[in-house]
Amino acid sequence: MKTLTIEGVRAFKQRLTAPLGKLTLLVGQNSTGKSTFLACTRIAWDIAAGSDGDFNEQPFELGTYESIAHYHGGQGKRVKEFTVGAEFRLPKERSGGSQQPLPGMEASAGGSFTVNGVFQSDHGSPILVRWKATDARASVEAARRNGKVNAEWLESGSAPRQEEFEFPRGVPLPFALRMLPPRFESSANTPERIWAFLNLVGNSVPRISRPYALAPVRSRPQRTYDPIRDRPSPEGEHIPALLSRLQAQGGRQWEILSTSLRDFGRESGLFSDLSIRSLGKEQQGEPFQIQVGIAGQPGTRNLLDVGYGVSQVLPILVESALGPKGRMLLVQQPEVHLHPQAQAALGSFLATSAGTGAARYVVETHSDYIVDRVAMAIRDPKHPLAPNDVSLLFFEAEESGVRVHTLKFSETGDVVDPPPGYRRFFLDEQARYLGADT
Amino acid sequence: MCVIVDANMASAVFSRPPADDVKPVITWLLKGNGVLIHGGKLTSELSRVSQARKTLVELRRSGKAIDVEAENPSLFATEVAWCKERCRSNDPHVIAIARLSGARALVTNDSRATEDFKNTNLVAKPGGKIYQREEHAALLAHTRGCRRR
Repeated sequence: MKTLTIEGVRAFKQRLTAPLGKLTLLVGQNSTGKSTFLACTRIAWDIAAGSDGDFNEQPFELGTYESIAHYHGGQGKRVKEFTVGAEFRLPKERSGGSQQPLPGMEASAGGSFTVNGVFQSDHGSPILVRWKATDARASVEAARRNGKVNAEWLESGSAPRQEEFEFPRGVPLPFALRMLPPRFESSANTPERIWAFLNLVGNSVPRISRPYALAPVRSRPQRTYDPIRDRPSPEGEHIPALLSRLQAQGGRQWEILSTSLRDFGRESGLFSDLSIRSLGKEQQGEPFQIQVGIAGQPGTRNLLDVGYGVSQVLPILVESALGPKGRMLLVQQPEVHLHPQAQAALGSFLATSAGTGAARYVVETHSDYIVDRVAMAIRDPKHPLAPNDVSLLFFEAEESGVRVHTLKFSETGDVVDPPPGYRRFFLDEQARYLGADT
Repeated sequence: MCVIVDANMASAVFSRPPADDVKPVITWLLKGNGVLIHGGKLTSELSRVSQARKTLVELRRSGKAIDVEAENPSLFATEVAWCKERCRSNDPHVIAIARLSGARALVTNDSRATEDFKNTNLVAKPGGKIYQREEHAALLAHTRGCRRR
């Protein structure tokens, strides 16, 4: 995903199109829409991939249309519709590992395409009423109207064309549109380019892994874990069982993961070692405990007997290491329960992971230590993270809603030309501390 | 909109509370649109003063401090070498910072640094100005030479 577009959603009254980097940092005060931004990132992917978008899939709960659509005061002052969308880069890899391009790719222009969805209220629920995919040469739009789907397509240099089709009410709009090409076939005026474009959208988005969202508070540590609880959840409840299985299996994956965990543990000061202790005779399928070694202290301790920091950070580390390469992780408050030393180490971890392309991140954070380490990584000419890889989005509350400033880092790791409100509180606090505020 | 704070004034500008004469400087940096320019040996000297180090970190995080040396280390080294040949003071790095950044206000109480900073053969277009007392606060609002902001 290259950019995210939001309009008319909660505090975002005006259309916002924000760049998403290998590492995108969302900073700003509470209640300025950072979590909404994260939720919309996943919804934008869903819409492009062919679903209607779920605004209440965990860990995000945006509520009903009333609580999602921008409200600008007074009776009837809620927007009648809102938009969520994204621009996607065409995947670099060829289909099936062969040299064959993705279906439709040969017809694409510009290396990217945009998919936007427009939502209206349907008995209080947000429902996708318009879906539009656009690239440099063509656009296809589907609109739900009077129980029918109206499809309109436009090729550069041609007049727009449209046709109306009947589709069952429950069929997601993007899915309905993707079902249209066979119907077009009988139509003499259906351009092949449009089929190819729809194919391209339909084939590209699933190749970009769905963004994976982690909850702001990860699951509480337990003294003993149940080995069968390995269904992925935003709280990371599956992580202990996953670690147990990987350790029991051994092999390269566990070796890489355990080394990565140990390295992070030592740099962060959180732990010197981490291992799984099975409570049964078998290494797999038995209840188990997570044992943690602490630097300078003998033996190991149960995860429950060390600070919350370890259990809070584990899901971020494990999902980063084990997920599909380049998958986007949506992370809220990764610094929760972490000492500044561990926050700094996590900042370095995120910068390296993003820089090497292991994962992409959209991180909502209040941690200066995380942002500082990202800046230091940018400043280091040997580090894989470059200034253009990072998008720093500053969310600023204004009277009419929220304004999002896209900030850039220079090669020296400094924020370039921030707006006057950027870090205003911190500067004022420093002035107050020094007695220079009067 | 840029100022250089010489090391000899660091404990006055960045103290708690700041000295009355230099209070406008720290207030302008933290609450106004001032930008602190530093680099090289001056950064090390400022960092030796505990409160200056903390404030420098905050200013840098906020995009209100610019490290001229970090932007182009080799150019900075060349400039310092050039200044060393021509300066009377032992602050050629301060003159180099001014020449590279365009900052034309220097907070200092060093007479030789003052002499160098006002020498138009070293700092010119516009010439350098020295901030020493509260009455010089106008300099903070009218430092137009800085290429930043």
